[in-house]
Amino acid sequence: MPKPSKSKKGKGKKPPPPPSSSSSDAESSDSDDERSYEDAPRTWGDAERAQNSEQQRESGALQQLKDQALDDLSSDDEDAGNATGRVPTHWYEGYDHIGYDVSGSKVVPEKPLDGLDLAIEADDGEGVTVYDKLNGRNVRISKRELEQIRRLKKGAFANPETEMYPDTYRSSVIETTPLHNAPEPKRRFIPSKWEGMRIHRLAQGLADGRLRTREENRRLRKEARDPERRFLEAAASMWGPEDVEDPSGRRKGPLPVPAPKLKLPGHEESYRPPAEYCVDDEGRPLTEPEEGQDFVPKQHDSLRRVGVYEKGVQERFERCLDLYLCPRKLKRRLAIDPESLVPKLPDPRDLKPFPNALCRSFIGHTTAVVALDCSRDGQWLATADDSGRVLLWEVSTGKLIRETAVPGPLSALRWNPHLEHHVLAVAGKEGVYLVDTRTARGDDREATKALLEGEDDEGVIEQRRDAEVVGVWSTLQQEPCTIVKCALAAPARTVAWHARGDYLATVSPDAIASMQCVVHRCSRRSSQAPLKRGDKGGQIQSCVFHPSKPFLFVASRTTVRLYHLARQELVKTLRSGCKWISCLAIHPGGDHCVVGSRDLRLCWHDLDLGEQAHRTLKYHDKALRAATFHPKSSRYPLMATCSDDGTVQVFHAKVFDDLTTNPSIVPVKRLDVSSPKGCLDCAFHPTQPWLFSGSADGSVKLFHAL
Amino acid sequence: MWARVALKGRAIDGETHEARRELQTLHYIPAAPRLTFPRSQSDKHCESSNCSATMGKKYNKGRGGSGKRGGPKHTAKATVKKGSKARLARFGKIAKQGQSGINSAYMTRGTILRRLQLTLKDFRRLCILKGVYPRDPPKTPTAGKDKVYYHASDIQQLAHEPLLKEFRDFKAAMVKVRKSVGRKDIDRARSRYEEAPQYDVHHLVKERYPTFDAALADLDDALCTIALFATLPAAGRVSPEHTSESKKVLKWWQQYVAHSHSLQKGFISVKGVYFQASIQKHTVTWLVPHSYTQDVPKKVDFRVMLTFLEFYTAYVKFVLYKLYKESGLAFPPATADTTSQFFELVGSDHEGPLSGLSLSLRREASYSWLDFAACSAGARIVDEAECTHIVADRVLKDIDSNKEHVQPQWVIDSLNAGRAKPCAPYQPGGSAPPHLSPFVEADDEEDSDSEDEADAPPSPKPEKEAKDMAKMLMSKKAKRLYGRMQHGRERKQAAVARLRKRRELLAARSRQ
Repeated sequence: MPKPSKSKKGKGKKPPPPPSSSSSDAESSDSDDERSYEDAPRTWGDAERAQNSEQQRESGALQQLKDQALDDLSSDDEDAGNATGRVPTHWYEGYDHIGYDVSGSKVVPEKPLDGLDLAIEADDGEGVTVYDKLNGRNVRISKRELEQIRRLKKGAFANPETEMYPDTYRSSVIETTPLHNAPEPKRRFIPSKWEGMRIHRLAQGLADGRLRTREENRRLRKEARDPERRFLEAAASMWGPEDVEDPSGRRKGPLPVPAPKLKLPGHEESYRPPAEYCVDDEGRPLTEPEEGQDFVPKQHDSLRRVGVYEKGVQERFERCLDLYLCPRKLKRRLAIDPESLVPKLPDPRDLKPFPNALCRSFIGHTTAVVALDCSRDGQWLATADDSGRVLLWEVSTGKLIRETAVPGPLSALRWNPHLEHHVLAVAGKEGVYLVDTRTARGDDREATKALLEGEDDEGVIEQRRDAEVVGVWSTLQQEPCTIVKCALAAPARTVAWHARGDYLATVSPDAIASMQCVVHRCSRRSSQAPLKRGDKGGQIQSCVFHPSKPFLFVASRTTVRLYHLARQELVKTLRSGCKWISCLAIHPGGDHCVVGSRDLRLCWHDLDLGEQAHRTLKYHDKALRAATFHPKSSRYPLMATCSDDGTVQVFHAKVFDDLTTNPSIVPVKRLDVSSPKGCLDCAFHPTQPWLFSGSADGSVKLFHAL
Repeated sequence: MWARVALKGRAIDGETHEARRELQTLHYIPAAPRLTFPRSQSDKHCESSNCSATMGKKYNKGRGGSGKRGGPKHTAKATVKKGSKARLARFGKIAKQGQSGINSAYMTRGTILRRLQLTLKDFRRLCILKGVYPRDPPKTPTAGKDKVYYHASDIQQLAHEPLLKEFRDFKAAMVKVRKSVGRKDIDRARSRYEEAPQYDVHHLVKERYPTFDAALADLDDALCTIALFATLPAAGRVSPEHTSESKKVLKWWQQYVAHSHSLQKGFISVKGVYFQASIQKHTVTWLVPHSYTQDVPKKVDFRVMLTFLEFYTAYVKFVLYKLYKESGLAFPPATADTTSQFFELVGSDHEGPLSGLSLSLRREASYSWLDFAACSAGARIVDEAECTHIVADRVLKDIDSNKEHVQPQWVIDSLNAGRAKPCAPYQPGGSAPPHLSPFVEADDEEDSDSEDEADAPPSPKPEKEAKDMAKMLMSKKAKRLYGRMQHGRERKQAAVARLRKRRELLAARSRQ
């Protein structure tokens, strides 16, 4: 059924009451001119517009408006005076006309109304007069025209009745003939059963609470989205007393690494730090700025002057970046007391006696004392210096007994270990010298004499590989003391006696390889070179006899080799790892030896163990010069080393018979010999825990045990 | 276009190449033992030999195929049935390629994005919310040293995160909203926007902090971030809601701390005011920035910061809920805007260093943190007429002789000292004693002082000598370690000595 048009429907029904009062309604029905501008509708809603047109229709004003609108169509542009087009008006300034009309005659402008005229015009309240500058005319705009302008400016049609989309499709005529001839079905007249059932079901559901209306649903959804409510629901069941760290217990992978906390601020971050934290006199901060510290400590005179910290946001941002971007790793932090790293040593006072105090200085040398040794009975001390003087001192008094001149710069000196032989072996530039000390009494004098007696050799030594002559023996002098010389091919560096006091070994590093180590037999005045080949470890530096077995220790630059003299074979090689061995000492027990080196090391070798050093110590600041054991090691388990740094280090070095117990090496005393040039040799007293030291500045000192 | 997008993403994330490099060099050092990733022999086998593509399977106990390349060759007898227990015992389980070893345990971010089909943005948000962080692999995976690696187990967790689905749903909803907007169907667009799925991070709080103890232990960063946002200007990405919510949460926190009398220390620093409270045996330290407009550098990416804030706000609120409930308070508390209301909540029977005193804060000294500190110390904040102490920060003209006048520092110093400090040195407008950090252990410096004094008359010679000689016997390694430890200690002592020397010099000058 076609919908009746709005106008038709409007005729039959009473329009809804207008919002304004009935009196104003009556007034407005006369003419729209009577309505004031203020009362005129400012917005043109559809309802209001319909209502407005209804009123106008009833009052006949609509027809009037339509007529007027028709009038409006006749534009007054036709009789517009000025036809010059878009020509700037100022071109006509200075002329009495302002352009030309269609017929080509001049358009002379009217004079615009002045203020007084305008005031008079405004007084009648029937519109306004404006000056049309283009045509040079005063134009009267009525109240109705003003209204139209206002409507147009708002984007509405000038005529309120105009419809934008006239419904041309609606027919005002109801067709009498139907389109089909079928009778109306029954269902048009009775209520639908299925719809009824459905409605019943819906009503039942709503009543039961099974169903909810759309509004109800919307409200519930909104409630469910309420963050406050969601928070409270979650918070009620968040943490309980039965919570455990890993509820599933199935977490795989590495442990979680918690981020470290930020460092807490120190005094320098205070707004009013102590004065010493601020800059010093030169303007430099006194404390080193911490990692990431971006401010200079400054004393603010009041809190309100501190101001904002510029880096605050940046620092927090960087912390955030660290928290989620920075790779984390568990690292073991060393939480140990540094003092626990220092080994606990027995108290040196429990290990007494050992030489610990200067007892006496032996004054007489002017050049460096290169070697010293004490006689086996402990009464005498022999010292040798660079210039070739060998001095004999009485130990108990410090008195210089005798001075003997031996040719050459000397390098080593050893007292014969046999008690009856009062003989010194001195290594010099030309060879080795045996010097009678003339300290023998009674039968010893004969024994000493017998040792030094013999026939002189003839001939000279040549440095040849096939040379058969190793040493040339001769008696240098008989009075005042006997000196026997064994000339060698190269300067002797070290000298070592065999325990019986007949054999003597010397080392001449500068000789050819086979002649570097020479063994002499004093009673027969014979010399032989037991090593026919050189050593891979470089020049031989030192050699020593084993105290009880027929072994010879030969130290090259890097290794110590142990030869069996009777079987003439290599027994063992000791590799200490030193770069340049300087000295070698054998423990009187014969099972241990120490090796001192120019690269500051002291290596303790246990001959029963492997070829590596049992213990390596590094404590001197300069090269080691000599190492020595106390001859009575069972009573005084002492060892000493001296070094170019001018100190002598005394150890309590106890060796156990038990094979499973390691020797205990305990440093007990650092003796300062007060020699800047260094200490060149040291030797223990044979019967007392005393130590002699000879220095490069010519001083000889005796340290005794307090 | 892809290049542009990639660059843009990188720049936005604040993860420029240099920054990433720098970040890689940082190593966190917590005090727990380091773990090594267990390796089976098969990994070694895989890395050493060239596994051909056909060799899809490897054997953990490859006795049968040992020494033979080109695939597992079974030398089992024909009588041994396949899959029997005997066979399993002999050959072990079949291990698939790429299921163990450093390269499967650690993966780069690019790999993860590809596997999880995530954008960088979503991945970043997930990482922040879930607290997933890269780990330093025990050895370098094949991808190289210049990468950041995540552990596979962490990523496994990410992959099963319900938030992933919520992110995707939200994205799909937003596509629909955009479509509606494009069709100028504003009503539908609005309703779709309002109906878009919402997510919250409540389950993540429980997941990251399974126990309340763990939650209390990690509050520092959360509170610092919230306190910073409470002072930030609401501009750009920071909305007024963020600011007001942060302010609210910080206030609730301060109220709880004041109520439970757990504030231990305070420190006015140039960065802001540090507070330290002891909550159920956990020490919580937070920094309240000075209440001025913060400088916001352009480099700061607020998307990162806001994601953190999102989690931290939820987390702190849950902690507060629990704390308030445990002390019998209602949560959220009634809004206490004015100082007096705040004070009522705290209670007046509190025994503290300032208990019994009533303070009045002058206008220039009325900081919100000062209220909090004073109330926590037991003082009451009242009007000027009825107060005992006036806290001011400028020279006072009208001095009431019946009242004490102090600077704000006096409140914090009294709190740290545990008793009310004398007021005379803290006259407003004048100089006050230096403000010292309570976080520096007092005995640190005293110790070093006493040590230095002990050093001045050198320790008994024999003992020193004995120690020197004991050091001779140290191994090279121990000697080196000992030397390094001593070096650090000496440096610290030298800094203390320098400071003390300077202090004495200044004191001597001031005497002159």
